[in-house]
Amino acid sequence: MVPLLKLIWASYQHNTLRVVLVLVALITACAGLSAVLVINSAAKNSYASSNQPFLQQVEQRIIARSGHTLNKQDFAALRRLGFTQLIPVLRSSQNILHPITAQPLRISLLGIDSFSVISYLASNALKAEKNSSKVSTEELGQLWRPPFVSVIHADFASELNLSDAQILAIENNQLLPKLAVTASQGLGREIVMDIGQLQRVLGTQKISELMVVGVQNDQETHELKAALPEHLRLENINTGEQAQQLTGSFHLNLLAMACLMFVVCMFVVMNALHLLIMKRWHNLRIVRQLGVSRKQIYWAQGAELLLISLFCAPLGAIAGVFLAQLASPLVSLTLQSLFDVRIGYTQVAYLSLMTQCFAACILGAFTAAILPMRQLNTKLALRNLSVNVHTNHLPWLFASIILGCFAVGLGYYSQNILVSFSAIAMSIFAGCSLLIYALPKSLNMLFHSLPERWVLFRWLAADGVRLSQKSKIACCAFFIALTSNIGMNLMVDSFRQATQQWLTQRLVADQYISTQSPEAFTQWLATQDIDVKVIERKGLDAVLLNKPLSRTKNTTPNKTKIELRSYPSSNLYQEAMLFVQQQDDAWQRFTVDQGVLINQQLALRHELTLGEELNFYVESGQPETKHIVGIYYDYGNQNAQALLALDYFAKYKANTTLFALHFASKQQQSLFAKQLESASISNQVRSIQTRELLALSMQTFERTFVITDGLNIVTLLVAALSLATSVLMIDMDNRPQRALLRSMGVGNYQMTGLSLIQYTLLSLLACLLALPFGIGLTWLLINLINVQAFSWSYPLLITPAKLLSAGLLSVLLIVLVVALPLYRLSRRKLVEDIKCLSF
Amino acid sequence: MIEVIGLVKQITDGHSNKKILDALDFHLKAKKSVAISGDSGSGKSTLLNILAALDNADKGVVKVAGLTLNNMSEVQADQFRKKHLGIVFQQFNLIDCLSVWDNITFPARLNGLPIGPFHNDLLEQLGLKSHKHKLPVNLSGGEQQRVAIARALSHQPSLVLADEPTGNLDDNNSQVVSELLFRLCKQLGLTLVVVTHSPKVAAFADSRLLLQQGRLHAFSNQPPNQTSNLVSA
Repeated sequence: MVPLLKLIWASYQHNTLRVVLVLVALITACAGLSAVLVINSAAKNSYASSNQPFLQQVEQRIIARSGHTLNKQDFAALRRLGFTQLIPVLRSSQNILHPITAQPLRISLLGIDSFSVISYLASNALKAEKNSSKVSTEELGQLWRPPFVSVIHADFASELNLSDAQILAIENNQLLPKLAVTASQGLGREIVMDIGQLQRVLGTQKISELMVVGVQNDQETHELKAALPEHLRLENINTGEQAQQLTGSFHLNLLAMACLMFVVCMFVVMNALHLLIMKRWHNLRIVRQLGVSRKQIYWAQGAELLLISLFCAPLGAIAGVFLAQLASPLVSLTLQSLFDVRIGYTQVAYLSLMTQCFAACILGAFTAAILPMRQLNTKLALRNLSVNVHTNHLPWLFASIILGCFAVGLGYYSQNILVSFSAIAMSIFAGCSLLIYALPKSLNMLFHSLPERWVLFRWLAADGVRLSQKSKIACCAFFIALTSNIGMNLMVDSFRQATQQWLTQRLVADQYISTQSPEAFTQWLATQDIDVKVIERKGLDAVLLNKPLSRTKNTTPNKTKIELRSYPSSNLYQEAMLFVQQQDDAWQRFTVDQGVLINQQLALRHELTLGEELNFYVESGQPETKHIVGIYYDYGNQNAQALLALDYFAKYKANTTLFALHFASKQQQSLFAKQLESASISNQVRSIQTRELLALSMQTFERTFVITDGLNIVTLLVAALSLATSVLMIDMDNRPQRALLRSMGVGNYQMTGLSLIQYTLLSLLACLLALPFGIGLTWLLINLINVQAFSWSYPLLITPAKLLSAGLLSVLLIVLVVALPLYRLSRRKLVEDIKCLSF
Repeated sequence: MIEVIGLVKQITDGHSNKKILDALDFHLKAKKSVAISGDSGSGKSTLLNILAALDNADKGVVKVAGLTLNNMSEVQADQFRKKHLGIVFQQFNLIDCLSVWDNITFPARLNGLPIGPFHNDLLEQLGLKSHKHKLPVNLSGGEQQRVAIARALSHQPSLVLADEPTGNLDDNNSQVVSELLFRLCKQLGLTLVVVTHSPKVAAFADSRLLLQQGRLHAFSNQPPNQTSNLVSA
């Protein structure tokens, strides 16, 4: 074994590029995978403990009803009643001036009553908890007693370029307690301090909410509800389990993209291993003649792969952690804006991560080595390998048909996302099989259709048939990357257009106001001389009484709970509604309270159709029944929702969720903005113009897909690299043919140009096939994955320009990447090449 | 046709230079054939490479068909090979993805020459008519070499170079192939240089040269004055 390993080691000196290719591909694969594993595991840890900074198992909170405030007295009263599990919290988002750059930074500040936390930790109640807190009481003590500190997570501090012991000032020039940088788990993208300190800095006595710590049983929840004064209410917040369910598809999407990148990387490994083995097979055959068994050679190759994996896995894991750190702010913001889910920083379990990377690496490397090893086996058997240009490709066509049928079947009967992803994978593999069948067939057709006088082009097409067989693995890698690229691009583009159209249609008001004090706002507005029509949007939660479904398709935590919202019945709002389906007289029935409109989420989750009855009740009312007269698009909403006509909503004791303002003119809108700015209620309302809301929504949208886009581009690059390695590999076999043509007077640049055209042709053919598969992939993503993950879909919009640009850009990328090794080949001296012709 | 004056080609072996061809002089008249023999490493292939403008001489002058090969650019060398040269290899080296007919007509088409009776005649004379549409992989060694010969002649070059054309063939096929190669070259008025170890093949040539220690020595069964008329070394 050792002499064989020495021989392998010696061969590296003459094959540096190929070894580097194997290493780079494996490290890239591990880096992508480990980055996603770190991101997902951080989120999972965060969800599992459902923690807030220094608090764990927070599933409920007490907040003030609209128009009311929560204060110290409320908290004291509840504590006196024995509710010691309540922790007062104050949240605020403030601009601070960066101490070094002097640039303003928008930062979330979180004030927490550290004394209550400590006393809670000390109580017997906590000891009974299975998930005992790992919070350091020392850090809590720092918050509570002088000298007070503001705690920030090390990663967040590093991201903002803040350091230990710095003192930050907010806009009103008040100073925050000095910073204490810590790596405490559960901390996220905020600065945490004692609530007293934050109240001092902000000049307020208010409390945002009372967090209910620990898992509450029904009895405890009921008692707490009963004890609450009229102006307070108890609400559930996203629990860890809920957050995990909500974001499951997002994490699965990331993992799927990472796996795709891993697979494409393995194609590079396969090609590079092929190159390595081809370079060394001559020596290995000599070794065989000297009496070394084939088994020993395989063991040596296996040991080589093991050593390579041992080298690459840790490096890839570390690179992945670095990538995850770069991507985590984006992921965190995306999850917050998409799902209202907060994820904190967690520590990376390096050993576990490296073990996972090593396992994936070794599995991938050995799988990638199967084909090169089979070829080596044939060569070591001393059999002659002749190129059969008439290889029968029909089995590939049959394989493609069978895989396609399986994909359709799986997709049709799919009940969950994993099965749907399998259907997608199968359809892509069906595409690969079809590509392997179609490439030589198309090139053969091209060969026969070219006039005989175009001798070089005819050679190009005929040689392309052979080339397509040798580069089929690389072409498949390119096909997979291109299909996913087209699929994702088309999906994002369709979603972008659908969202934009939907938002533009739905946001008909000039300005929107959200406030906790609606009465104060309406009173203030009544005193202003502004020509504006105000439409109140009211809402409350209702419980669905329709028969639950036997099969579960969604990720909603509570399937029986729905949002009940008011909707104006004017013509303007009728036109603003975008229906998936509606009855002919939908609007007439809706306006006279004879019908209800439901969103697509509610319809899909509960398999409700037009004309069916929606049975529900609100907290204080009797069961009600309404006919479903329309189903509308409601992108991005995680919840099931039903709309009732505004005029008939008054009977419910509902909160105002939003004010929609319609101004008589632009001047009136400007006047309103000016007067609101100087009004005393300005800090109680959030005013946003429609165009700003549109921009904000689209910004959130773009952010959501930026990681997927990034992984997609890397995958495409890796596929291009795979084709480039394939060029090098094929060159070894193609040298005699190149030399022969050169000996007949075909110029060097002519040869390079021909090779480039050959690869462009292969890429174009792969691209042509990738187009329908990409469109099919988009359809599956929209109508299968999206529906299963979010319970809504949107129309598939095929933009030829987008398709063309995605395809052509990918082909251009391939041509650029392939041009490099071809240029390198063109630099080789002809006299060297001609040796292989035994001249 | 071929004029070689003071040709020197050396290779660097570590720190020392070794002369492969040492002040080599020889002339070959047009439409004549010559067989070059010599031991392994005597410089036969190097000489063919230089005559084919695949390699450059270190010193001396090499002229083929009135063209000086020494100062040729790469593009000029490509043009020279395309127009003036036909090569027959020991390993046949056919384009395996093209049919017999496509292989044979390839150089002619490359030169933009019309394909006509000449090529059909060539096919017939070489006994390849029934194999016209076959791929090289489906032919025997002798048949493949006959295709290679046809290919080397299809654009009627000034010079045909053959490197051990019968090296991979049995005696019968060697005889047939050699006879065809020399006869067709003579018939078409082409100059032929054949590198061979086989006395039987060399016997077809108008003259024979022996390459020893980088220098050429003329030897022939024909009278010396007749040899010197054809070739001088």
